[in-house]
Amino acid sequence: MIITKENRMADIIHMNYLLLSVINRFGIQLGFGDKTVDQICIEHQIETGFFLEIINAFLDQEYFPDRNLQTFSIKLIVEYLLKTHRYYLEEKIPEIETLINKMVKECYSQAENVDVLNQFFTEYKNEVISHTKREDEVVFPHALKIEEANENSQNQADCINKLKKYSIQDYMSEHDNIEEKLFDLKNIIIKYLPAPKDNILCNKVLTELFNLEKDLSDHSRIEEKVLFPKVVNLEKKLLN
Amino acid sequence: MARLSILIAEKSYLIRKGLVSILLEFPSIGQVTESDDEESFLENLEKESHQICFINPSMLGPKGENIIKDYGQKKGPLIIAIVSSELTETEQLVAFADFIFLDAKKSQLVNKLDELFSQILNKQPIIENSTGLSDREKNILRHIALGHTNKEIGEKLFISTHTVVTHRKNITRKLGIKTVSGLTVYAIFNKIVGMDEIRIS
Repeated sequence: MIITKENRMADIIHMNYLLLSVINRFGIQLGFGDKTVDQICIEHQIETGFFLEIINAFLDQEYFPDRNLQTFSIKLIVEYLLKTHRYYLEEKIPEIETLINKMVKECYSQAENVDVLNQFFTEYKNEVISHTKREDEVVFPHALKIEEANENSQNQADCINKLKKYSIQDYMSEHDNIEEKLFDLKNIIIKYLPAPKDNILCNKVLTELFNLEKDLSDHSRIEEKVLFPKVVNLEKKLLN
Repeated sequence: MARLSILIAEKSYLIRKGLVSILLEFPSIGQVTESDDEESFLENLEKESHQICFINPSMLGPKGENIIKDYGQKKGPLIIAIVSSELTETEQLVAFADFIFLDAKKSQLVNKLDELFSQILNKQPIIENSTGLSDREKNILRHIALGHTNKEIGEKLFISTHTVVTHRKNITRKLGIKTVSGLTVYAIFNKIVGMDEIRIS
């Protein structure tokens, strides 16, 4: 089912509660009563069309790239991606880290070497940090500059010169996969850890890992299928 | 008995026909399709369902390589690379399930093919075996956890880098763990390496 602006926000959350973290990223809070998507977006000064595309893309993996998301500005997409990065770094990762620390301490006995999981997660965290940092500091500013140069002919020469040194293609080829370690971590907990003393805590960790994985894959889909192709097109235009 | 359908992608007419003639000596082989360029190979790969593909990796462009990588993860045909034995670019070959060597003697080749065909025809026993690692695989896992590269592992165990790659793939498939760090954690839990021997970096 495709969500439209007439749908009520509450119904959408009932459809898939994982959207909660997505709408929070737009600054939307709970308590929407019977308001529609459009009403809420207007209240929060969000472009309804863009909001709908992000929601629909999250609900259905096959939804884009051919449709509307392609028509939104790079600025809008980058803003959303930046917010997503902050959500990972400031909320999700610290939350999961605390849970894993707790799980290691409370669910297993010392002798079982389970504390190696803490190290594993720290390593994963560092991977996410350096991945997002690279995008925040290099890739997104580059994308924004390309858009600006296309709209405004003043700085084009400078931009074209820089393009010869670094283009989005360079980044695409190094865009690494930050989901693999997460996949491993899930399997290690599901298959290879000894039976935990506290099932509830372990289940909670797993649920968080599954949710983060879904969110990350949605995030990289937007980067790889929407942002990157858009930048590639604009770069081509500039060079011609 | 089920008969196997095979796809060969090889530019060289001599090699292709040579492989076909050996394949047809096996009673379990049904149909053999040949392609001499990437395009017709990809077309054939899509069009029909084959159990095994033999490919000369040098025929593949970036597009073909990506498709092969995808197939390795799906339950598509078993994809075997045709390589000369001295090939060193192992990175590209990670996508392949196994290898046949151009300089192999006939007996070596027949043994290899026999192994491959029975692997496919008796899928059941392989799934049963796949629950645990073999001693060889545990040994290789130990080296991975200690941070050794494929080349170093090959040199230490007196096996080719290709063989190391094949073992690694099997280990990953059996355990469901892809990264070196993940494999290291597994190795620690299962006392294949000691905590004090390694440092996760």
